[in-house]
Amino acid sequence: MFDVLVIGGGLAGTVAALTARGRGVRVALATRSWGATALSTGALDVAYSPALSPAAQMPRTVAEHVMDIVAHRPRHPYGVLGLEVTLRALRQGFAHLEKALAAAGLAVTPLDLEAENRGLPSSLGTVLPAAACLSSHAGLDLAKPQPGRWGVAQLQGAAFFDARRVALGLAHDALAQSGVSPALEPVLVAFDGGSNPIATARALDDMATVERLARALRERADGIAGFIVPPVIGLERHVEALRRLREVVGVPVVEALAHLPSPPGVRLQRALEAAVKRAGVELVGDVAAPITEGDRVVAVRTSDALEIRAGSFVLATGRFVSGGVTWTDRCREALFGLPVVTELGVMEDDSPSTVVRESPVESHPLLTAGVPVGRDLRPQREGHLAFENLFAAGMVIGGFASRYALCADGVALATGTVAAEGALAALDAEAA
Amino acid sequence: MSFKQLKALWTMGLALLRKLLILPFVRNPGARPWLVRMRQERLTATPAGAWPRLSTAGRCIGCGLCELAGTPTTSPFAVILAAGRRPEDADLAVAEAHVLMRAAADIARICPARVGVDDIATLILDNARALDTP
Repeated sequence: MFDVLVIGGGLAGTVAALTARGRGVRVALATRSWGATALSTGALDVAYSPALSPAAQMPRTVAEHVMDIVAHRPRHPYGVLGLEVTLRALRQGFAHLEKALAAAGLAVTPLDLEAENRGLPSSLGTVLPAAACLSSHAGLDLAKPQPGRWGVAQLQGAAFFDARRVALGLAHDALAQSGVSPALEPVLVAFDGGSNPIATARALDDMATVERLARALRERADGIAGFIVPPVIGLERHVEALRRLREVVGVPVVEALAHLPSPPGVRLQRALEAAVKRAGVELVGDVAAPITEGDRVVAVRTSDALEIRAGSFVLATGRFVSGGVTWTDRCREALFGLPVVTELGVMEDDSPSTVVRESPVESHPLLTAGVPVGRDLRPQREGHLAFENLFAAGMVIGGFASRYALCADGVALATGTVAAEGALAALDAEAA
Repeated sequence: MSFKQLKALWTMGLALLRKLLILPFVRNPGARPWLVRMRQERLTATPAGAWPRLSTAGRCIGCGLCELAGTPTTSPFAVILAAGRRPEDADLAVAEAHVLMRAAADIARICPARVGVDDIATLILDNARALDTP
């Protein structure tokens, strides 16, 4: 018997589990496989909403972007929670994340909601706005004018990272964002680490290989203010590898944000898994079915046929890719069979007209399908609470598209925190 | 009716007439040429038993995380890509299908899309067996 059972081991589920565990209750985390965290670029997206704002009132700080989402997107989790709760939950959730990553040796830049998003270089040659990032990506903010000449390192054989295109793309994007074109040039580095990011990152877990790369970079460092390198500096021994690389090269070395497959995502995922174990959260297997009694969830049955009972439950199972939402004969939340909502509203029926738009350039409503929730993040069915002791966190909450407001990590942090608080409050209420 | 529409009707009418006139003298080739072409591309018709496997095999989002279950000399992601479609890669997929079988349990623990890579391997091997059967 647990006090809180969190279903789903992505960022939202992990934050919920750590928040609940931080209050001293017995917490279990049911995970099936890795979530979207393992696909992370290495940046933490909290809010960036120019698409929602009138041009005259372009938000500047992260908090203003959040405010904009709250004002224009009532179905977005920030809109559901309201500005005050969202900002508080973002700070609390981030504190849990920071602590969890620090224990695994990974550092993350501070989350300053009153500051502007950083402009981080990506491996595809775009400048991506992000509120915070893993520290290996920090050191070059292309949203602001940058002095000096930066080298974009082309490792031999690394077809997954085209330094010439990255330099061109970054210069173009940075000019648009900061008004000044940075001096970026591709630099061929005599180091062959592998043909895919995972293989290269694994090779760089070997310190002798790190030394080879460091020497090769140092040879090309004349007149260079810093290097942008592919995000491959180690998996298991990333912290040590990056420290050594920066020591030997003598100028800043910044990892570009990753595309797929993503070594930073793998580091993040592993760090979170370690943090959960270290915190004393019990890991249970994949949940096959819930067991309910009236308006309460009392237990879940795992795929190993174990019955796990808990007082409160947090649902953080994601959307279609992770299996949190399915569409077989009808579009439904997969585990509890809850109805779904899209950004166009509640899906009354499953006719295609409810999930498509006339314009092909707008977002696809079906990709926003998830459960509707109330202010305390309890899923709703036909306007009423689905279950007294079930709370939702992360992307399983429907009605918003994270890609149009760059908010996926922020939603996970905020809703993971609030859902855990709700689960704890439900426990207290039950005890009373 | 515009001149353009009239011209289109005339062209379609002629084509239909031509088809009807030559029909009694031409044997319907059926699906045979199509199947022969597929065979040349190292593909077979999808057998009915493959459909349940396709539902898990087809979930792949191409994230490449399965590389973590590989070794310095094996690349599960490359096999999955090779199994995808390109005829020239088919032999590679067959030769390396055992890589997927061996890595299936590890991949199941990490794959965000819950792809059944053992199902992919089975599809590859069944396809190869069907091609070897005259």
